[in-house]
Amino acid sequence: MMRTFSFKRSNVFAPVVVSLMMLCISVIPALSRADDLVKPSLKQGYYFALIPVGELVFVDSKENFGPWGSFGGQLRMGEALNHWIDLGISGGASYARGDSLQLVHGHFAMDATFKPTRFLALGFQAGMGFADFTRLQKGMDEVIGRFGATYGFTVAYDFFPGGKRDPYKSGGLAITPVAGVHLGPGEVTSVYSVFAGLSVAWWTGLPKSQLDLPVDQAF
Amino acid sequence: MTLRKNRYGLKKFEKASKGTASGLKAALAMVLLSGALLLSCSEDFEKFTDVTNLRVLAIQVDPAELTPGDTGNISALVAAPANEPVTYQWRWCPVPTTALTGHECPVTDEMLVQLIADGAGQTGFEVPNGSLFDLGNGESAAFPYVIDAGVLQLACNQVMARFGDQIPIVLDCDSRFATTIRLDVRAGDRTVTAVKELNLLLNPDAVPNANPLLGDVYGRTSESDVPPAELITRTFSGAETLHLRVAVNDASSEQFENISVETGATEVDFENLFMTWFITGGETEYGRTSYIAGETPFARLMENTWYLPSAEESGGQATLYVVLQDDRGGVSWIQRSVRLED
Amino acid sequence: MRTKRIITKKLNRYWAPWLFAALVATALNDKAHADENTPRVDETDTDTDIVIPPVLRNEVAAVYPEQALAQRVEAEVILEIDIDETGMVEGVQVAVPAQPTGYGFDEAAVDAANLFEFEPAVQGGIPIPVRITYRTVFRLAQEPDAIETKSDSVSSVSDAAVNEPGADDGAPAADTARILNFKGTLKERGTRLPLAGVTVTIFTGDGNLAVGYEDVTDADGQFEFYNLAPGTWMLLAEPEGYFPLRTRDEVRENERTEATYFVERSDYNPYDVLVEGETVKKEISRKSLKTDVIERVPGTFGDVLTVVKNLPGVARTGATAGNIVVRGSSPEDTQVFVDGVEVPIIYHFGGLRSVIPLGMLDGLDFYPGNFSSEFGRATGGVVDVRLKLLKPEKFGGYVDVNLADSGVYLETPLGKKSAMAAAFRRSYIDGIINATVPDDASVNLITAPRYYDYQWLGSFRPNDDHEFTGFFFGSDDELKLLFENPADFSPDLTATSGSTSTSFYRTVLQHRYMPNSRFENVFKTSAGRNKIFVGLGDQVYLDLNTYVAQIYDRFSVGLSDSVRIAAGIDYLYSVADARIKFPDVAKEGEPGGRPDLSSIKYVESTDESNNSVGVFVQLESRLLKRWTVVPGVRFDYFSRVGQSSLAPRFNTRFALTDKWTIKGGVGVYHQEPAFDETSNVFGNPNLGLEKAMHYSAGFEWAPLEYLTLDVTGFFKEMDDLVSRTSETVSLNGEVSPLNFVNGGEGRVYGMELMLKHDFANNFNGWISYTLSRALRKDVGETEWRRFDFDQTHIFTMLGSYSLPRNWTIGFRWRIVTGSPSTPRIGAVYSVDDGFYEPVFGKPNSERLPTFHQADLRLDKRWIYDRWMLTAYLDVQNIYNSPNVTGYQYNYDSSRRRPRQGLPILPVIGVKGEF
Repeated sequence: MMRTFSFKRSNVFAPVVVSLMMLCISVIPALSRADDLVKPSLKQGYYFALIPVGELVFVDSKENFGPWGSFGGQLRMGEALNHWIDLGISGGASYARGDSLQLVHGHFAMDATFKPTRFLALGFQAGMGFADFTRLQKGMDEVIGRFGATYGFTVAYDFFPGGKRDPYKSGGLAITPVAGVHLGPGEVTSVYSVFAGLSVAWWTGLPKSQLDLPVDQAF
Repeated sequence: MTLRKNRYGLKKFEKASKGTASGLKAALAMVLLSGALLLSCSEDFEKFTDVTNLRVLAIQVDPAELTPGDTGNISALVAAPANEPVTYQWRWCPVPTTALTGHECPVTDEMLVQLIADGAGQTGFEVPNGSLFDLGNGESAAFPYVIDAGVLQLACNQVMARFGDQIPIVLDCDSRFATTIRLDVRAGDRTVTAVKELNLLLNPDAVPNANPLLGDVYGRTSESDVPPAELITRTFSGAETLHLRVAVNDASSEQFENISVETGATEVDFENLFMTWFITGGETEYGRTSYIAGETPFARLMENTWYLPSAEESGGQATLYVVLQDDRGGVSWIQRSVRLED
Repeated sequence: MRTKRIITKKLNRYWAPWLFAALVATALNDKAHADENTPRVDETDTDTDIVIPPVLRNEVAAVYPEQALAQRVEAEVILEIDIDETGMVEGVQVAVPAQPTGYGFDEAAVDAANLFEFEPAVQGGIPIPVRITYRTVFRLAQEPDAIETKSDSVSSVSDAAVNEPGADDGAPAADTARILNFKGTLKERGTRLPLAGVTVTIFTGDGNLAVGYEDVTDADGQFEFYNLAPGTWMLLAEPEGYFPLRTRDEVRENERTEATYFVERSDYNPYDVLVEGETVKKEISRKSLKTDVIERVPGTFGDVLTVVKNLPGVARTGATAGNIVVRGSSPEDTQVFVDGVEVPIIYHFGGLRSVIPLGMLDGLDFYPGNFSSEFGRATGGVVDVRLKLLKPEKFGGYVDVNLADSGVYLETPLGKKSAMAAAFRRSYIDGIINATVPDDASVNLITAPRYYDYQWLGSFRPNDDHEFTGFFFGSDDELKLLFENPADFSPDLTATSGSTSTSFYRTVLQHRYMPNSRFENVFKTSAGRNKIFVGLGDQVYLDLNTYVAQIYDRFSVGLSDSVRIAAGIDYLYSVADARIKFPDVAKEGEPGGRPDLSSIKYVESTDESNNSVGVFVQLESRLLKRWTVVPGVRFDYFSRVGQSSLAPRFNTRFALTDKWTIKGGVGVYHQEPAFDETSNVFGNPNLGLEKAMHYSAGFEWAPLEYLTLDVTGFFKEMDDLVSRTSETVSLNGEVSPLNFVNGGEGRVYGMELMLKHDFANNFNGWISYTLSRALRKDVGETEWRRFDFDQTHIFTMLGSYSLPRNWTIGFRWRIVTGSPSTPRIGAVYSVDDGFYEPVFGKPNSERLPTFHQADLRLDKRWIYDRWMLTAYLDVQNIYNSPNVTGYQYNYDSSRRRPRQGLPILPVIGVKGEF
């Protein structure tokens, strides 16, 4: 119905994916020491981000399609564990058109972000996704659907960290350009996309009891 | 109990909302955990009722059960690809056979003669057509019930004693002697084997089962009714929807005496009937329809809808084979071909 | 052992000097502050054991330094005193020196403290070393010679001290009335447990005008301040392992400010349990898991029994299969008990969820083989699910919601000696299925699969010797379908409806008597009912109603320090009514396929009663302190087959060193055939017991306290297995089929390996690997064939990391050899039945492809003042491995396709605890 499997491809894919996952999983705890009371900064606490994106979509199937232009959006939410790592969930969908086909694809994934420097964030997502192709000819509503595992990788860099900032305030609004790659569902028919967007994120900040503040601010 | 929802119910799910073979719906269904139900789609396989190859669709013995002295006329409904000669091979076996042995008969000629000799002291028993179990190579065959019923009953007991471990069921040697009719059909390089149980009643006064009676096939399109005569002469447009009704007299659901499994007492039951709708192209709403005495309406047995194939797919013609069976081995059928044009 | 995230008690440069310049020892009343000098005990366990702080038995007064006395200088010194488990002072350090310095206050305080004697701190009945904070106050009384130092006196805060001038012992008559105008309680956020022994500081003003006071919370977490001037005061508390409390509050004239403060732990990982004490290990292949480990294993949704499938020796039987296949034994050969009470069904609908949720449980013990003579009536393995020891500190519980079902669990203490807990869970997947399956499907669900289960647990402990427990539990499953067109499913189906409903309940009463460490007696009685119904209209049905009762007693006596004898009796009684009209069901080794609805058998029986008695004796002896030898014997009588059995068993463990242990065992095990196998219609009433011999040997290595490697080799020989036969038997001239005989044999051998990492360094998990071969020889066969679940390699790797900010990440990766399958080599069209009967090849001669799947799980906990919320996302099969669970054949078995297992499947749930 909606899943046709190519065993050959999966056999190569699986160990690679599992090894990458194990690597992430072992790196995360290694980098996750809880911070002691920290100085307030922007990216602390929980984050809720809306990311409108523009994409270039490639479809790898019996024929190869693309690149098609596409637009869509992502929603991410999670928490900063410390200044190295964020964890959360991410979901998104986008719409593309080309070669008399229309494609709606989306994903729902777990999201881990590594922050090697203060301004750079590398995100890895793994989860499930769907891709629906509709033939535009003949007025037919025929939909071919694909559903399966999806993976993503993003890079975000704070070009504009926001100028003057209240040194005692934790959290706030962060606007960051993001670019990334998304590997879609399906093994025989696969969707790959390259996207760029602007992330508008609201950080809730940490409560005062977890911040390193002077006495007039702490109480 | 297997629900079989995946074979039939799910097909309905897809057709009912065309175009929902959607990845998004699958994703939602997965998240809502009901995705587990959508899992085993078997769309790639042709359905049981799709006739695309050499098939034996039914075997009829007339009368359906034999009383002493009867001769059963055996015929088969065989769907064969055009332009290929079909060869037939009929055999019978004095015991019910089982798939575990590929329906091979465990009894040889010598053993049968011995059984009868041991059972009733009769020797020199012969069955026409050479090998005792060979019924010929024609399109039809005949089975004469010439042996004495009493002898057969004793033989039945011997069969249970000697072959009990190779027979799938316990024989009821009081009322009947169960045999198997086997047909091997070959066309080209394809062989199909079909088996049918034939009961030789031991009591000459017993009322044998009768084959159910089929009337004609009536059609109805969205525009008009299609009487039986017109069904085979009219040209339909491809991909049209044709509602069908096969006339069946409700007397076909015969009354008979049955021994209740629960109480062991004799009770009067009505036969259940089921109809299989084989087609060479297109789709039918139901692969089978049935009448369950006292539970479902009779009309449901007779009606179905045929979504005709396009003329291009089907080469301008599609055939419908309707096989009606009762649950005691009675069979009958009717076949109609319709012309198609896009 | 646990790792704590320590919040450094940093007195940072901003406000320390002001604070300490401001501290003045006031007439903080010793009576009102009961445990003022209570040790600052580290994290109260959210588990059952509270730490009882040390009690100062012998206090030595500090010598007031002469110079200070002459100059009338007062000061106080805060000390940290290390107390060992005997109550002696091991060391004293000055935490906060006296101000002003130079008078010798510190030295005097230290000298006195070194001579203190305490009753040691106790946790869980065991004395433990602790460090306490102690404040020595040097205050001048009216008589210059009187020195006052604080001592910890009795327990509770008495409000009588409020507003009553000087009504306390020892304190000099204060000339000002002491007015209690600030009373606070310090509690742990989320669990609402009081924090005892925490120093709370209140201060106001800044610079040289800063004024501040200190108090230490008592056992109820309460602290008090007196005579505070009206205004805004700042409150500070920095318990170790918690984020600090920093807040402001108002003090008003003629008013008493009362407040409760919640302090958040730096992490709430659930593994805050101490490693269990060394219990005498006498079983050789037991694996134990506690509920907090079970809860976090990915892919199991906190289901106790599903977790067992990740242990070595357990085969993979499919995503929803409700059976546990252990070391090559059929599912019915493994018994599941709840605290020794047999449970008739363990899963709802054969595999969706197990019937007992985690809230009532403490954990489970799993015995893949060679279990001791305490357990019987099984030739495979034993799963013993343990109920929790009900000792709640407060009223609490949780609500658990996920997409399949929701459950509630509540527990409460009833006075000091008893407690009660209740739980209920119900599915609503019926609603979801109804919403997503369209109306014109040819199956109508009248009752979509719905299940619920319920438990009630009560315990009463009048004194240390006796414990009474009552446990009532049950479950109910139901599913009803209507077929519009039965023939579409199967031509021989004449029923228009199908339904299945299973329910059971049990009441268990238990009395445990343990007057001393040498003697223990457990008496248990249980009663209940099982009701099973499966049917397709009138055509096929199975209606079974059974009443069961069980009496069990086990006593154990320590004959000496190294020898203990245990014995017991286990009596099981059942009365059943049955009405069964069913075809034959496929047994192990037989390819499934369709049941033959035309050959249906019928049996009806009422009040059929059966008894089963088991008696066992076991000796547990510890020779030479290193060598444990456990011989035992079990006698069983089974009335259904009219046979009895004697089963000797022997297990031994030898500790080569502290880290290395070798072990081995051998035993005989017996089991009754299944009830349909001894039916005189479906089976053979003359069947006898099935038998198995277990042999195992192995070693354990524990290089670190939290790391264990367990390698066990096993061999199992099974005899008299019930095997289907086509033989017939002649009775009174009537020939009837024998159906079954005890002619089957089984042979299983292999090795299990488990490398287990207990919770340490924020990680816990294990690697389990089983290498095995399981064979069967059916009656009449000359060759051995593979068992239905013979999986050569079973590899599972799983783990959970506890991350900061109350996140947990878990993963699981499994690689399993495919199960054997029976190929189809052709088909014959059976005209009367209307379908192609498949012709099968050699049983289990093929194998399905290798199974492999990875699951990933994220948990996040939010802490609120009075409750906590946990949400989890568990993604199964995260790389969408296309696992083949079987084959689907076309109508004439000439073509086949692999049947795919579960695809990537996210499961979401939330749990609120309070």
